[in-house]
Amino acid sequence: MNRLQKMARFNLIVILISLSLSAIAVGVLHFIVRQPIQRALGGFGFIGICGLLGFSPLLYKKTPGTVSFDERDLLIQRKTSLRAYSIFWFLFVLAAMAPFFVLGPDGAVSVKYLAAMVFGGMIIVMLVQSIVTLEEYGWRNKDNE
Amino acid sequence: MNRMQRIAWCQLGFVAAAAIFSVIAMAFFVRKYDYSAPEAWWLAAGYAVPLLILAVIAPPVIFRKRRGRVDCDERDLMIDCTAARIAFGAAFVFFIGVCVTTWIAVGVDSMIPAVWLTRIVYIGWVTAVIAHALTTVVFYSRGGLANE
Repeated sequence: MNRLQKMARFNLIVILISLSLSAIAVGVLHFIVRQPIQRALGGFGFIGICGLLGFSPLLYKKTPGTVSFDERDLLIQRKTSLRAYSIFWFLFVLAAMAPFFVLGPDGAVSVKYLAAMVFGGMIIVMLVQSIVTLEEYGWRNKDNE
Repeated sequence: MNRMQRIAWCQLGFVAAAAIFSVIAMAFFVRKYDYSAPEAWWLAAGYAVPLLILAVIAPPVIFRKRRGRVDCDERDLMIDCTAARIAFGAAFVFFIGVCVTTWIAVGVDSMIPAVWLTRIVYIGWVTAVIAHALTTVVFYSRGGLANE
């Protein structure tokens, strides 16, 4: 696997672990511990594991003296970022318009909803970039060294 | 100028016209109907939406592809792709900036009107259109007369 594939795989694993743990925590808190849903949503604290995403360029450093990035890698990187931003845009607009239609023009939303949109958007961008990178290169393709 | 440059300049023209129209309309609403400046601005910006929709739809129709001619090469595709990425990136940064600013300004436990979310989307869209057109203009301006 090349550097971008390794980083994408790492990012994907971290995001899936954080989302899974969050979903399990919310489910356990709400259905087993019988917490009201507003308190059970505290289980989303496991999303903080996504902070590890910042370490992926440090874990998979560029090897000095070798060419690790060519035109194909550049094209793939452009494709992944375009797709990630396209999906982010679509979901962000949906999330922004939904309260307006559900609550009406005179409704109000909590500022926490904005924060959820921001963090959710970042996670979606990283998730889609990782998936598309691995799709383009191949999930296990060793010919990309 | 090639087709993409003309489309980009036309889009910038429409956005500028929408901005000027909004300012004039805002002044009109404030003077005639005693609206406060922020209320008048958003009302005027709402009336400018048709101009912004035209900014997206009209230029590709006005500057149609000519049959039998090669209008687009790899460089044009690369510039278009780069402009799209920069447009998305600019909108992304804008969205994040506005959300974080709101979070800091009013506090996490406050409520905001639902209509503010639609305004964020509206301005983010305008940001993306401007960023796309500006990027296209700037990238082509580096090419000199080779753009014909």
